[in-house]
Amino acid sequence: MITNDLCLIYPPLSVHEFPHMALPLLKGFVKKNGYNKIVIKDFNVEIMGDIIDSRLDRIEAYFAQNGIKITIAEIRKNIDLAKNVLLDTNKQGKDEWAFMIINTYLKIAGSDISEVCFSPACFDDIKQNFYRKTKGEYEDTITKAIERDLVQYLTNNPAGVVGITIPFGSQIYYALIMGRLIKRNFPNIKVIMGGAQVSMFWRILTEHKPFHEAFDALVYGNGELAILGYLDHVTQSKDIRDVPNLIYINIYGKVCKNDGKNIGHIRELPIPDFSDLPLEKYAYPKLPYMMTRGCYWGKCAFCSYRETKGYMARDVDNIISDIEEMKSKYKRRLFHFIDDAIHPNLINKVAERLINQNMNIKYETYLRFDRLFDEKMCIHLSKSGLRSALFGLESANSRILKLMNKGIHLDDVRFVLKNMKSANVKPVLSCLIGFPTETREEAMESVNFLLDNKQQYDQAFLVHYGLISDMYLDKEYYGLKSIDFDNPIRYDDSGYLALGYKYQTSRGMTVEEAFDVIDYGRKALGIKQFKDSFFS
Amino acid sequence: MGNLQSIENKVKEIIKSRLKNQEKINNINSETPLLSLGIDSILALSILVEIEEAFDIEINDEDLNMDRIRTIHSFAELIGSYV
Repeated sequence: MITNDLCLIYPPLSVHEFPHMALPLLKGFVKKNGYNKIVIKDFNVEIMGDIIDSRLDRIEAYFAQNGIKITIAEIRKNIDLAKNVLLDTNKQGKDEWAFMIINTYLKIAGSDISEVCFSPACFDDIKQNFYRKTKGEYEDTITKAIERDLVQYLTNNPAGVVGITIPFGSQIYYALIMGRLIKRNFPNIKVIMGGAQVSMFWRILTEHKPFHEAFDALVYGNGELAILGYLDHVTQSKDIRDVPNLIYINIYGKVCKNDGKNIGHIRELPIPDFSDLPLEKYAYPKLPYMMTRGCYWGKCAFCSYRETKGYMARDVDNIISDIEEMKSKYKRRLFHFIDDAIHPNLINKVAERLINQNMNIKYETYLRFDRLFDEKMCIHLSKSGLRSALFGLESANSRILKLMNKGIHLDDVRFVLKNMKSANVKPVLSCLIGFPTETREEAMESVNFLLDNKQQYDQAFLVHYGLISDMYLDKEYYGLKSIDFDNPIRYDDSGYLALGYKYQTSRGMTVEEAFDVIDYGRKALGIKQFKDSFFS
Repeated sequence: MGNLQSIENKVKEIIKSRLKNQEKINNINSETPLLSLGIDSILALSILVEIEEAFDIEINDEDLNMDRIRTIHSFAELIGSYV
């Protein structure tokens, strides 16, 4: 039996719409740098897939409430047909039907998700449940699935190092449970954890000693050089102090945090390697891709890594050849460009090549309200396959936009929305309510802007502001009165699980008042909210 | 399945078979708004497959808005443009 150098694990519980990008990218990078025996295991796709499949009766009940008869067999048939449409190049005229079916069914079947998973209201809940699980006082279907499958998987696929990524708050608890289970059953395996949640909350993970039973090291920031360095440390006894972006506990029990280092250029990252993943099990037959790293603006106050990630863009030739290869290797025509925000000039050049080379793909992405998106460019993007673009509007109040350092003006927003909409691209808007110091009147400007411009976008989200950035460094400027760094909490229990630092403000709305506006706005805008669903 | 009336009858038959409320079934006519029967866009999309199979057609996305399928009559007109 081959022992893998590295096993990369995507833990439950999160959405399974398409593969998460981090691990396929890491695998490609580590492989390029000399380690060939690497395997990726997505435990989430299996578990979330089973959860959704077991809850199709919720969709049947939803229809019944509206007076319509539809059977679970028909629901399943619709899902299969929708997936086939999105795979078949000749069925592109039905794409919107397929997207709508899958999206709505996921939201309904995935609602009230806390009935089947652990849903912490704060980080202390995670600490408590981690302890209760040891005592046998807590069990759910997900921990049962983990216990059933994880040990067996690693017995059949032994590895020297296991890397677990934690991009979402809903995965923290289960990742820790997995880490502990691995270390108890396979004492020789080194467990390393990374991802956005670790970057944000590594202090809590290291300060709470019982968590030490779940990992050997943590990674903050970008993980490529850290994983590579850690493998060198484990296999070649290289000095752990030289591993960039690594956090570990030394033999004296002291938490050590090594300096961070980024790859020199994004071109050093090879094409993501999805070959280990069961692609047919994801909700959409879609692949993620990233043509840039960091954000070309990179100044928004609420962003957890503003001005620290750096901005790098791949060459257009490189982007096109990667997309071509992924399209042909994995037989997919749908892509999600998961960049923080692609610069208009870059996406325009990519669009040019997609059109000239008749690539015939459809893609979704994240963009900024940049005046460069004029009518001509939007038509061009649409022609190249751009289906929808998510824009962070964040606020329609000029004081709040300025305070956020968002760098956009409402005239630009209207200009871009009009051009996108007329080019048949679906703009999706995200708006933050409750930014520190924001008054009810200012928040209502955002709601009213969305109401007044409803014809210009396809979908809007109203989400509560979460404190995860370095705004605490300038408390007075942002009107932050007190911040609790020890026990991040979940303010909004209606969507995916996001933890942020608990805070109070010296001026503007309270958190409760902000939620009043959110509730009002969601109703006024007709945003159909399925309770406690990770799917949006 | 050539003329509009026969298409309309078939659409009516399919929609009736989907309704749970007997009163709505009894009162349904060509001009009854689908929304008043509880059929919004997602419900319409969910029963679309049965309609498409019955007429052996595939309706394109651009035609699938609630304005084009506001009533059984307008739905039948849309189907008529495909058969």
